[in-house]
Amino acid sequence: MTKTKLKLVPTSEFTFEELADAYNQTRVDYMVPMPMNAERLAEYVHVYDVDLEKSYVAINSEQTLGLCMLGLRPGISWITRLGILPIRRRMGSGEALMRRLLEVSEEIDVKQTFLEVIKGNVPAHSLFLKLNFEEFRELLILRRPPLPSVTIPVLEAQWVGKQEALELLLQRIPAQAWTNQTKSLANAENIYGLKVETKDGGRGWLVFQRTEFNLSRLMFHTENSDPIELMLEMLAHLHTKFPNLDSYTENIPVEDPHFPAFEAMGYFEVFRRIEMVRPT
Amino acid sequence: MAKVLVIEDVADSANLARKILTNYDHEVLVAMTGSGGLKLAIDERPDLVLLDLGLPDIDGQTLLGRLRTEAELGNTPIILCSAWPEEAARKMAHAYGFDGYISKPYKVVKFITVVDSHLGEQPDNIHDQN
Repeated sequence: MTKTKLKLVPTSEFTFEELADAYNQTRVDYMVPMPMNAERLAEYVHVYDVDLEKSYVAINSEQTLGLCMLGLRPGISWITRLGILPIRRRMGSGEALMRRLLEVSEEIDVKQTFLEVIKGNVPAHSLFLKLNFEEFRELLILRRPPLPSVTIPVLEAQWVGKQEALELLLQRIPAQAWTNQTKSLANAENIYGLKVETKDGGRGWLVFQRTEFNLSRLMFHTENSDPIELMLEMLAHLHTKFPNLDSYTENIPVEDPHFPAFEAMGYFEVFRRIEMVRPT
Repeated sequence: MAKVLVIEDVADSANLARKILTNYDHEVLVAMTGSGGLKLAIDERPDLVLLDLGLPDIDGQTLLGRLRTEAELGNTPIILCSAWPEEAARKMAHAYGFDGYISKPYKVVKFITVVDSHLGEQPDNIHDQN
């Protein structure tokens, strides 16, 4: 078979409509396709600090073969949205895109590059291992249909707006997946939070995004208390206040001690991702 | 003959669904976005909806919730169509209250059997069509 002659073009030379179309074409056969329209892709680029001038589309004779995007934050980068047309896979396009983004990361003095791959996507996982990425941890994607809370909240909750919610997020140990970093939530709209305190000094907070139909981006912290009990209390407040909203949250580490509270509230695991990291 | 709304963003899958359904004498409406599907559902009041989970503007789970809030669609069967791993898809269908589940890629017999079972119809010539 003739080796594909590739040209890598910055994504900034394309419209969001063209990029969304290219991205969707590369994902038609994915087990979790997650297509996007131009509006959703533009929001994604904004929220996750994707640099369109440092992200690339692979082209061969004017045909789009695939694309890959690079998020940039101080000292770190994030590779995302890698996709190659099904009939053009295993011809080196994905590896060429990845190598370009790693070169770009090195040129701008990035210390670590992160990515996530859906567990079970063996070809992508193998490519990332070949490029010296190492598995960091497993992440859960959780979902809950619109339902009232399964428990009645007991403690009083204090509801807060975005500014205070972002201040709460700064209390976390800075080891969040890219999508859940404080900067991602700072870039996002409709961010709110709630805080609870127990009589014996336990404290917790829950930050979330609320849109017309969904609750998402659930970030949380508990201290001086049973993490499951306090988390369940906060989720009870959330779903008592918003019983008709569909809920999902992504990239929660598998070993997170609060996870049983999510299960008790009716969240279920949809799939898992493997977070990988590569020092540059 | 029933009116079936297919909400599906992948043209090949939508076309295959249309072909199978038409072959079994059903009227087929196709929407390739969630918002388009919602509008068609409200305007056309289909007898059954086939709903993909992954749509470019709104996901299938959220769209299901919107469809369920429309009083005139309250009793319309909504079938989840997904390429997700079967266990996850069935869990999703059950949790969200879909009326049924069809895995992708479509298999003609299975597809039409599930559709017609929710329409209260018995598929004709099923073996000839597969």
